[in-house]
Amino acid sequence: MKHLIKAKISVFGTALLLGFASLGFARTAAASPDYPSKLQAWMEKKFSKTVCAPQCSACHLTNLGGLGMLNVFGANLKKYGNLIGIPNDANFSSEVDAYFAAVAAGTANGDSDGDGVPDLTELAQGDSPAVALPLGKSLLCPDIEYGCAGGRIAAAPPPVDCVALFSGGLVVVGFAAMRRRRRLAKRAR
Amino acid sequence: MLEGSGTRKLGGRDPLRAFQRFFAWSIVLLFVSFFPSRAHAYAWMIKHAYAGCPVCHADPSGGELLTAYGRAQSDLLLRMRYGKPGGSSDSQPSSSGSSSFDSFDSDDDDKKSDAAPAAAPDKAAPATDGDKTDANSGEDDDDAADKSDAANGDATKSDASAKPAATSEADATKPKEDLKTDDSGSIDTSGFLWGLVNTPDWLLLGGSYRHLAVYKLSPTPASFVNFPMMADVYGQMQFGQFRVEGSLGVVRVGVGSPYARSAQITGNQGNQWNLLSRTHWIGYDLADGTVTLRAGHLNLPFGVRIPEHTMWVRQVTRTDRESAQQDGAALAYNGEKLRGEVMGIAGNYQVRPDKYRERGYSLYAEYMTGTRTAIGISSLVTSAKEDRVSLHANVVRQAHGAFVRTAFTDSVTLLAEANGLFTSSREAGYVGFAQLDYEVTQGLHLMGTGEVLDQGYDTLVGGDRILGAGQPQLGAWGTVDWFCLPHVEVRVDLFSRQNDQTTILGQLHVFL
Repeated sequence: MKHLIKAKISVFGTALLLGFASLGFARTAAASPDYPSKLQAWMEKKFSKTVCAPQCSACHLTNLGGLGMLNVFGANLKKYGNLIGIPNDANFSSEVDAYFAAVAAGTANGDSDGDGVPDLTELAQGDSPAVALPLGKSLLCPDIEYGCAGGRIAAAPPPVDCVALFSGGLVVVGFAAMRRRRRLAKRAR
Repeated sequence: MLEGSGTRKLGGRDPLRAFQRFFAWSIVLLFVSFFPSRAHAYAWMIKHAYAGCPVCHADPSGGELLTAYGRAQSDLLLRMRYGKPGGSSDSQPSSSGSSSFDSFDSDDDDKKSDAAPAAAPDKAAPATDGDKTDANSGEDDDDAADKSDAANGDATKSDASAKPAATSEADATKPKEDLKTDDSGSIDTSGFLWGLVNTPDWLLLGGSYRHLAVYKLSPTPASFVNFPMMADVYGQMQFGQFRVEGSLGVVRVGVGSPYARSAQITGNQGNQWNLLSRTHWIGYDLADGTVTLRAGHLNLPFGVRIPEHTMWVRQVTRTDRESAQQDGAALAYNGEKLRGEVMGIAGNYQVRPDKYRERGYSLYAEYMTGTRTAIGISSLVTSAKEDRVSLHANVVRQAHGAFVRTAFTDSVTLLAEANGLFTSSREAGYVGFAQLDYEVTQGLHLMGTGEVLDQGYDTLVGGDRILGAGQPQLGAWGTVDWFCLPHVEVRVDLFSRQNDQTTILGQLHVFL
């Protein structure tokens, strides 16, 4: 009977261990839609040149983003491109195309901030299509950098998911700890 | 089938206990597999008459790293005890051993409000001298004798309400060897790594792993993502009155993400992995530990220190503990009735170039108007040559407001905060929230939160007045927060904000 109980505990513990370990294998993503990199990819294809990843303020009022916090350019993209605003929007590129198609067709204005320079031109120049020039000059990709002084220290993404290793290790250590404590308590009794 | 897993700690075979444990672990497994976390300083601990923070936290204004006493309290007051004596809404387990959730929330309301406060005010001002390590232990010299009394005498009281306070006092003063088992005979798991590592008195260690699942509902097509939100370790060393604390973690966020970036140590700007440090500081305790002078990368002292970093009051004022920390020097005071902290902000030196660094001050002061009620004020003024959030030039940001924390009963706590926002190139705005926390039984919280935001119309950019920027925007949260196991918290939030998507957040928080 004792053996049976031990075996069942062992199975249960193993399942638990596997479950915790699976934490680390979850896909790394973000709560916010990854629009900056998608817009970057769209611009690189459109302008056939390397461009930076724009800030959230390209389409939002501030860099905090938010579905409801769209600036005039973001609102136009949503309205004419039917941009839906979800994470990992697979149709982003065609939605932006749809906006500029509407501009070409004369349905949409095409100069969101009304400074006389079309949105497409401002994007190509790295200016904000939502903030009128000269205030919007070079605002698409400001020179903000994060990290301590000294430039890029970290390497490219590691081939192994570090967080997976971390959480896996955490689970193993946790269980080892609990088992050790139980043994100690048993001995103490 | 489950006898073995559920009975060892009780020293007998208890199918109900076994089922409870199985159920708890199953839920954890479920969340681990399909959903994924969060926790920190809990401002609603005021209901246990813990008005001050340094009793339980290394940071004098609360958050993250726990003291040895804080660890003991997290085990006694925070997590679900499944019938074992706790300190929150529990009663003693029934003599038959078949305790159930129904046995919680007994008639201890009046008594506990007397018992718990007795512990807290004494500890609000931990003393430090010589070789004592008060900030690490949360201990007070003068209390030692009292605690011994509590251990010897009070702990034996049959009064269900007196038990939690006495037990916690006793545990906090026991030698570490004695902490291996608690009064019910089960193993003490409150220590670092579930008690595996007994750290010396001068060292505190901790860590958090948080996994978040985000399910966005209407009005646009539903979407689901899950990702590790936090993987940090933190520690503090204390030598006499001198303290050094720091945190280190890893994170990977998308390009342009408003999160984590400003806490980076390494300089990858894309979606690569980065090392980050949210806090690192040196400090010196003065006046028997009631005053702490610190310098380094610190949480901004402002408002109610809630864990929800995306709540508007924290996000818009940029005073959350996710990555809004700044470099500077701070002076904290933790008296019996009054506590507060003022910080001179020198800028965040993990953001470059210098024009994006904000400089100014941030402060709060809180006064206990009753045993379990506190009111406070906050103020923040910063200026930057260029604001990294709005990208406007020469921005002066101001936020001034008031907050309240109060426990209506042992189970119901209210947190509320309201701030005026005054930002150059914007019209005046405001932000506020109110959160009602109902602890159904110890370890299980139901929370309802309402929030409002109008950060002011942007006169520089112009455009239409929209909800949240020129017009008031409302939001509501419903939360189930379950401290199901030692060092484990499972939380589900449903929130909806005007002109935004209704979202479900599932979180698993494992803290070391």
